Amino acid sequence: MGQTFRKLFDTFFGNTEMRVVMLGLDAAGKTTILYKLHIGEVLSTVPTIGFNVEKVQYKNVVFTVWDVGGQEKLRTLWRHYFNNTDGLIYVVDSLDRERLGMAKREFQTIINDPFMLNSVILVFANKQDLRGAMSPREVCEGLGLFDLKNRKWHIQATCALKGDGLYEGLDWLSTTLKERKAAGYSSIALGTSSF
Amino acid sequence: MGYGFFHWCICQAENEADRTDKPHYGILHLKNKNSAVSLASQLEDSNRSLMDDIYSNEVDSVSKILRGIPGNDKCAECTAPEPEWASPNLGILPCIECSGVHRNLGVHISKVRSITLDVTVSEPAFIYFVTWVMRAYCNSMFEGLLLLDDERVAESNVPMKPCSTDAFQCKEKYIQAKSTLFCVAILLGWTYFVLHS
Repeated sequence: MGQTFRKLFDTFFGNTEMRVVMLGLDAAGKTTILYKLHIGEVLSTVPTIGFNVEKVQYKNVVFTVWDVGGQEKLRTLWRHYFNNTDGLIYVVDSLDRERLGMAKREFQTIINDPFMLNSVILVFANKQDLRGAMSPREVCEGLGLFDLKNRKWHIQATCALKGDGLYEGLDWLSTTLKERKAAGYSSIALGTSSF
Repeated sequence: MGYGFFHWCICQAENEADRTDKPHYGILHLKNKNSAVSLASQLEDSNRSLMDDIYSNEVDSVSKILRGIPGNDKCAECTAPEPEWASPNLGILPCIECSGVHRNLGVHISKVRSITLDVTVSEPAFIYFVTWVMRAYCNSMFEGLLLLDDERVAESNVPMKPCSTDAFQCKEKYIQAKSTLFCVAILLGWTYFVLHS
């Protein structure tokens, strides 16, 4: 009886844990976003060689966010973070029009990986404070988001330095993930990695 | 002053195509016209020998080539040894900490790449880097001009060049002050090739 009550209580008031992986080309602002969410401050970051992982609590969801380095040779390591992942946060530097094509290629590789087929996709169009930044719509088109079929995705304009849009993104992520869990989706995709 | 001044004032290209292809331009104050000419000829020589190196010997180590260029054996900002990062559009090699500051400036000013983790010989980024690598010289020359001219140092409040052990904030202040003036180095190389091609 007590256990049943506890379960019921947790369903409504307990913390839900979610595993999220944050990827994107180098210098997109992944580490800055991670620490802005974690401690609420903008840290002086250096290029990430390896990864950073922090827990971010938002409302009653605890996100375990993995931020992985985005240099070309490090991108082949991304797939090791795919297993058991509930959500993908893909960060794009909205000012870097030159490399939007490259961002698209990497993005398509990630979302077509068998381990990521069930994960929800949140795209951060970062650095919106800079003049000449691409609008979220342009980023959408550039990444080919409109062509996605049967995927849950959302794009959010952000400015990591001010913190604009970050929590709106997490809000969408938690709502969508809860909906999915309620609908009985499993976070573990069947199949093997294509690599 | 005794030296002839000349001023280049070129505004940053506004249209999209220019912004993606060309480097960031700003305002150039040069103390001595002759120094620009001699520097440019020096650059051409070094560039030619470098290109020979790459195409005839099929050099496999990118970092070896890049660090072999005089002035590139240490971080262009704080003189830390063996920099492993590069800003292809500025033609300088910063260390990991200074590359962090460069990344904060935005890709329209400095595009930071890793020598070991990003650039490979077959990639366009590398070719682009080599084409513009003569700017490596411009960094030291420009800094020389900048720091010798006491009046301007006082006026623009440019901080002293940091060393590798200095705090991150110290390096950040210096690089940000210098960033708008980086374009001087770029402009020199660019003008020379336009005039002589």
